[in-house]
Amino acid sequence: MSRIEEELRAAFERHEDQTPATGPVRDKINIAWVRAKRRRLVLRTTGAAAAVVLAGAALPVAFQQWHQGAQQAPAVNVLSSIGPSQPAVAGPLDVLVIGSENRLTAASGDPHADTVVMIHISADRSRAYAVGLPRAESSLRNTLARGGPERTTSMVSAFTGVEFAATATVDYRAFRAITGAVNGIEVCRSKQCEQLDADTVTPVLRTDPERVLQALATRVITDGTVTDPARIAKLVRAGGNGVTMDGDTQTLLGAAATLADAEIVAVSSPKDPEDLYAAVRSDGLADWVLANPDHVLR
Amino acid sequence: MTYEEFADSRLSALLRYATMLTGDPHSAEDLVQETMVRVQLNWKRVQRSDSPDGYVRRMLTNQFIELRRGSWWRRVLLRAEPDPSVPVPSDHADRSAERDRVWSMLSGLPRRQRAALVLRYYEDLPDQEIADVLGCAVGTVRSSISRALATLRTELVEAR
Repeated sequence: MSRIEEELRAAFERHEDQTPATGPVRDKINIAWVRAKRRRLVLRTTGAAAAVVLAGAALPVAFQQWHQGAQQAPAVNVLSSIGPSQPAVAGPLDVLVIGSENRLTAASGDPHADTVVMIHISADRSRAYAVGLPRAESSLRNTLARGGPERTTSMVSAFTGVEFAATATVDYRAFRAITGAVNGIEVCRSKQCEQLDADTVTPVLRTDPERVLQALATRVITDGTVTDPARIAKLVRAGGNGVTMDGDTQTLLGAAATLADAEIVAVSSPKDPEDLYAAVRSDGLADWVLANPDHVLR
Repeated sequence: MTYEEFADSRLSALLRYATMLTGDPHSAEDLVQETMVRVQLNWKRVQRSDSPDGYVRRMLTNQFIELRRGSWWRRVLLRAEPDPSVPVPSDHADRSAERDRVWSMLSGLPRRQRAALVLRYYEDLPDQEIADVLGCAVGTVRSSISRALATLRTELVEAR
């Protein structure tokens, strides 16, 4: 062994006593771990937030109530820490929700955009509209497999003229899980109401996605889930893995936090949807809805 | 093995290794802390690997080499403490300064080379295992160690 090698060994050995004691480091690791877990929870909450947005923009309401709840009960401070810290966003907000049969992350199988719904939150934050897009558009269905959510979003933007702040892609398993987590939903079609659970929601989701979103949102708001952190957490776990968000999530959450209350209106596309798209672009859906009561799903 | 058991049995060895890599106890603490949080996040994968011990050593080494990506280095920079590995010149410190010259010169080496030196001359690993940790060929390990030794040798001669 050369002299330099010996000196190296000796130098390493000499400095062994500089090694920090394990006890304090162990404590620091535990503290850092708790922080890391909290960060992860916030990320998952964002996923769940997306799940609820897709459930007809109930999220804004939910966030507001979490925020109010947090001032009384410190137990929900993790959830509330997202909302109020975001700057308020002025103007209307559009989010595209893509429901897909297959998991996007799966290597095999072509994910199809089976359900495409625009969520439009009005500038005054009094209403959120779920606008179903005609799913018969086979070219739209295939965009998801060919170019992912970005391609679907740009295609919808191209034919509607609407710019989306964010896109939420949700697989049907997440829809099923969320439906199960809220103990089923009631979907009404032409005055006939139907109870749906996790196993029966999928076919209706294919034919009437905007009604399912509306029913989910209504359920989440009326049964008090939005005010109960434990049930929110359950919803988070249910939707978490099947939801992906693209785009400006921060803006979305920021806008959500400014909402005090919102009515959820589900709208179906008429045969000639140009007026409807124009109303979305100009934030004039309130007038459009008054003029086209037949296309409002109640 | 649970994470707790792993930490109980391996933490002190990891801290020693990190001290040799970074040359300073504060950076070593930060490096180990950052790594162990990642270990916990990915514990299932760590547990499933052939050697959890080796897996974690690889994580820690990568974190050290690619330090710009991790946050521990930013913390070190922000703290901006004087580097304790640089000997303070004073009369009675001369002898130890001379002795610690090799140690302080290590900080001038590329991180990959320093890691290779620590793995061979402190951890006493065979070259094949060093190659596994660094994720390169055995030949690359040998050449980077000889390059590092050559650098140290030249600097020592110049200093004397």
